[in-house]
Amino acid sequence: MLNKDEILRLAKTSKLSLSGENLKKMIVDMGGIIEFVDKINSVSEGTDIDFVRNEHETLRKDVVKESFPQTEILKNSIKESDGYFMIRGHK
Amino acid sequence: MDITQIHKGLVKKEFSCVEITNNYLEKIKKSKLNAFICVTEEIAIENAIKTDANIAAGKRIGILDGIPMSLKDNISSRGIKTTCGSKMLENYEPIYDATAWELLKKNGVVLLGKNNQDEFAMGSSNESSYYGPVKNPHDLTKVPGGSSGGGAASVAGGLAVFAIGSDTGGSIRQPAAFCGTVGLKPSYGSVSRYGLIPLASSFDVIGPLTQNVRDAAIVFDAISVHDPKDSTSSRHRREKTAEHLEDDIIGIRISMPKNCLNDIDNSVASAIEESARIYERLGAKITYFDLPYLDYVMSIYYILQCAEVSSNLGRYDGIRFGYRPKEFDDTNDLMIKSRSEGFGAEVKRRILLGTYVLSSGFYDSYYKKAQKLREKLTNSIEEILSSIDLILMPTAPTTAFGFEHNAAPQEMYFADIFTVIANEIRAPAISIPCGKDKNGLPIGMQLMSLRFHEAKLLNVAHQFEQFSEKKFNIS
Repeated sequence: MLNKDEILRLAKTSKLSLSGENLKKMIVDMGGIIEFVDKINSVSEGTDIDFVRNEHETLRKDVVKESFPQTEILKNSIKESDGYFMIRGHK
Repeated sequence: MDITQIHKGLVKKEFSCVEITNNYLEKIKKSKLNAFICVTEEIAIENAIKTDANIAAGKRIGILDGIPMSLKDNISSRGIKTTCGSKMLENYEPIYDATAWELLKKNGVVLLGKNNQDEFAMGSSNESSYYGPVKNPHDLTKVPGGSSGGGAASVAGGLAVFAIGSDTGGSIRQPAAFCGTVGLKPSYGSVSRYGLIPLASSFDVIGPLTQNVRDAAIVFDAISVHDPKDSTSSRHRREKTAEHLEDDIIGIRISMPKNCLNDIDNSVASAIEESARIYERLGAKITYFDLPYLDYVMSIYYILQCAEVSSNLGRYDGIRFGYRPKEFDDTNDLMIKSRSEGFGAEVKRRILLGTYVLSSGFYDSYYKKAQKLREKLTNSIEEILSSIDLILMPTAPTTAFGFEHNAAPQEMYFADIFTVIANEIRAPAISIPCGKDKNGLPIGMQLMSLRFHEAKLLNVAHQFEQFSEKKFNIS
């Protein structure tokens, strides 16, 4: 079971904030989930295989092609200016 | 009416495409299922008018031309909101179409709207959607399954002729079983993932939810195309599966994993055993085996899936697209607040678990070990499938459960125990109705074959359906 500090460290790495009841519930939930996935550590076999399948059939040639127009790409940003995503100035 | 019946009706001018489209739109408006996040009425009518014009001009229309359908809300549709069932993407409008959707559009389908789903496709009950849960058309107090619950409920509730869903660990097949529809999870690599908002990229597949196996074959044939935009899209030669539905199945070898019939609902176990007897009557040879690593398939799946989730969902930073809070101090605070306010609890749990199993000190004992076991599982099942044709097992251990449950997250995950296997080994699998429990709730049986053997899979499923329809009167 992960303690509060360990959960908070994972949350910080994941850029998530947890506090109060949400944090308490997450500690309980994560404890149960980790116990559940920990089951694979009871399998002793499985370590004699190194190959992990490469699903990429063939990579396409690295040729520069026309992409989406900048105006389209910026469409879903909350704020943009002069072709840039705006962060500051949003307040 | 299924795809073929509507096609015939349109060609014979028994009804117009606008008439049937309006009929579906009316039903959606009156529906209590909450199966749609957005209804695309104008687009639907516009598409229907085009089909009617083509018919009036004497042009030959394709089998999917004018068929009213719906699309899961994690499949990108240019200019149409694609929320993934999340607050994070509440106002997101993709600037391009997913390849599968583009192919269907070229085939002339009529888009009725975008289906509700579990948030970012994470769930087996549709309760994690930011837009409220979907209800099961067979019993409104029961879940429709998930995560493609909106699609399954639409088809079962008569709100769409067919729906397109996505399946990462059972998200097409499990709701298909709970709602009494057919659900096909194609082989990994058969259908392009381009434009499918990713959950876990090495498991995700797009596929159809339909009224019957023939419809599943028709839709699959339309979307199974090699796509250079998806580097994992396979170049294998694709057969038209709809042309093989009537192939003879006498002598076909079907094997049942005995250990999948333990600890499940009696009604489900009996229905699966009865299905095996039906196959025997149809000339199949039934054998039994024990499914290897069954005790570990869920752990392998959740470790790898959450690892991929934690990486894939890193893109939601509140900057380029997606939810952004009104107040924040600096860029770091912007990212933390966007993600903390934009994601629901299940998404956060999976991001944290994924971050944990990938972190230094735990990578080898969780992520790497799970990758190796996934490979072992694949080799073991492929070996079994090399001496038989198909595996027959339940789709889910139970029928649809009620909304009022207090299950812990990991207990809920077990709804997918029989479906995750096909995703882990990248094989195709289909869920088809095979009976009902004492409360009248549908039971699904699952067939799985070797990768890219969809033609055989659909053929064997279709033959069962032909026989069982007479026997069980499944609608």
